Amino acid sequence: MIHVRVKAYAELQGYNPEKGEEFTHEVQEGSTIQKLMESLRLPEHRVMLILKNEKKAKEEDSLSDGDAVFFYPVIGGG
Amino acid sequence: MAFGCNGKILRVNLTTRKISVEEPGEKIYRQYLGGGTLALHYLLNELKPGTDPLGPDNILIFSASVLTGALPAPGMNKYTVAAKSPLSGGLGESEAGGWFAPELKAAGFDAVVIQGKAAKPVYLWVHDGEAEIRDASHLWGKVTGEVQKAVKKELGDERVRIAQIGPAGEKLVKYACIMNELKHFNGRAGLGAVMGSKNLRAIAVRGTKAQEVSDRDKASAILKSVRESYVEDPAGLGCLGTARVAPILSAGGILPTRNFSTGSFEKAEDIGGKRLAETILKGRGTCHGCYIRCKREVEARTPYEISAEYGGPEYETIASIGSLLGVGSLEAISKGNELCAQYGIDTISFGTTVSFAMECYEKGILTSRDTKGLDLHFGNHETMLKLIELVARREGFGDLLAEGAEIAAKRIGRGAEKYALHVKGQPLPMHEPRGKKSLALAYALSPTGADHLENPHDPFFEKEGGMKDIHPLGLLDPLPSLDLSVRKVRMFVYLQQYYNWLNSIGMCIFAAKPFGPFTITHLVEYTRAVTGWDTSLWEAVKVGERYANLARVFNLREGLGEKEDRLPERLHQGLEGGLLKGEKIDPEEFARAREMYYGMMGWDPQSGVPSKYKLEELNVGWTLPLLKS
Repeated sequence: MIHVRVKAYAELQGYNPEKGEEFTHEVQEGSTIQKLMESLRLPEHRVMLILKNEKKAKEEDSLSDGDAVFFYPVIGGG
Repeated sequence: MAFGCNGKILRVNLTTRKISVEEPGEKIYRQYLGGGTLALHYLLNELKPGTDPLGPDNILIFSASVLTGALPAPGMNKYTVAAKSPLSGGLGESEAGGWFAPELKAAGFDAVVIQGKAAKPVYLWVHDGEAEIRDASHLWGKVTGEVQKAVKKELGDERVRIAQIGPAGEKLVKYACIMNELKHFNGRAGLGAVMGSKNLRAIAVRGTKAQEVSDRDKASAILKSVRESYVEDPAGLGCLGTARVAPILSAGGILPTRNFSTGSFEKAEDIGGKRLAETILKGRGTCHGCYIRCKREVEARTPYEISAEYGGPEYETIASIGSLLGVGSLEAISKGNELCAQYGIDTISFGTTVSFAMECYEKGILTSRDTKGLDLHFGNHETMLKLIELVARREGFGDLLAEGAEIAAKRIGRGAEKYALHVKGQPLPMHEPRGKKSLALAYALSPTGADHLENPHDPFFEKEGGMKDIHPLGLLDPLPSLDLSVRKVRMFVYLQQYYNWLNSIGMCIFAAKPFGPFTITHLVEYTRAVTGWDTSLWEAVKVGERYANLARVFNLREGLGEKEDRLPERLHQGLEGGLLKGEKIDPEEFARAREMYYGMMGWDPQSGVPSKYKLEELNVGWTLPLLKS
């Protein structure tokens, strides 16, 4: 198992309210970001931007121990 | 007469002081529903082209809808103010929520149509089927908070709801706004200046009439179902407000920063909703009937004294007088928000006009002699705050900026024009078309000039899951935000008519899909239940199309056509920084998209003139002679 640092911005916290905005999460070694999102119950269509270690990332990208993954929600008006 | 409507339009002539009531008949309500669509029925029939927007012959309309006030319901509280705009010379219209529209309906009217100009300052008092024109000389020149208190005291009723302009509207600042209950703004299109040009300071309304609803049980059941489907996010729109948006857009490289030069702002986190909630947030405000409670109320003592009576900064303001100006102080932004509310100035247009001036100053096109000693470097929030009062009073350098970026740039010359970011004179709002490409169409093609609320933005519809909300419109396939192909144009056409329909029924976008709990199907069923009409989504979208076509005819008659359906040059240049560095709107791709839009709308693909077939199909063939004239 590996550990990644997750930051879920704004309404994305709603899917894991007990965890808050920033937390550490455990996933299988070699997991993709997609697997991480499934594990966190983050719906694909609610995520506008994924940054892995401050660089733009895709759901297919794989994760290593210690990676920082930031999820930003879809917002669009106001 | 259908249920849900009063069937009565209040007509006021401020020159003759004549007040009358018009009853247009059910078919007018059914085909226009309310909002800007109903307003256009009057504007096209009664306003001559070429009328001075700040002269007595302009017509100012406040329009609720057939659904407003029927039952307390989230988002169902908006009204449109419409007139010929002093910014564009074309259609001006803007929506606001709050409390005014349900009260107007309760007072027995669906809309107010105001003509002429009062000999001296007045306010209109509308109450339970009656209206009178009252002296406002003692209110003229006062800030909005003082007027709010004074009028309620004078009328002896705290529950009176007041729509008013501020001192900026009195001074005909080109982007002066109208507000109700101090916190809800018809911000755009310079409608506050139109109201000020009529010597009309405020409209106070109070009513006790309940709307009759055709099938109250059915309507209540729908609202119950909507309520049950709504789950409040602990860090979403309700809890953190639209204020949470700034850091998110900055991470995505699409936060308008330093006059749209770049898309990422180093101080974005300092001006976001989380920081706001941790520091100066006093409470969450709302509008009539709405449990989403998205509005901010802030209070502070240092470094600026800020009162919660004016609410607090929403996203547009956080960007327009924040990142857009390189200002990273949430306190300064919040103070600026309060000042703009006190004086009655659109924060969006003010911000984009000041950012224009700041870039000119940075580039030496403006000097301290021109600015009368003010330092206009990006980031100078003290200057930003000083400029609000100078603009509102049309004093010093503020007098030039009060004209808006387009005219200010023309008067300055020396190459300033390329830094004035507007469409049809309306300064750009705080969303970046280079990262959400349907906005290229929205900004260029909105009848009122650059407008960020023509349609729900691209990021909602990038994945299959996001399409569910708009399946009833027949939109099934997701598209990338950066796509501007024919498929994106089709998506924009359908979504624009959806939003045109929402505006016609006075529905807040935050309470309807994709933002909020009302589905498209709910809204159609709710309309049937309230009005008793055997109506459908088909008929509803046709109302949206009707708006688009009536607005187009209005603008063409005023000389606004395809030449004005353009974007400022900067949007055709690459973003200078952030995650989307280098991204731009390709001019040829835009031209193709624009032609496709015209054609899909049933307009001539080159000139954008609606075909007679389209106008007849929408049952507005009566506008054809207006096009020819």
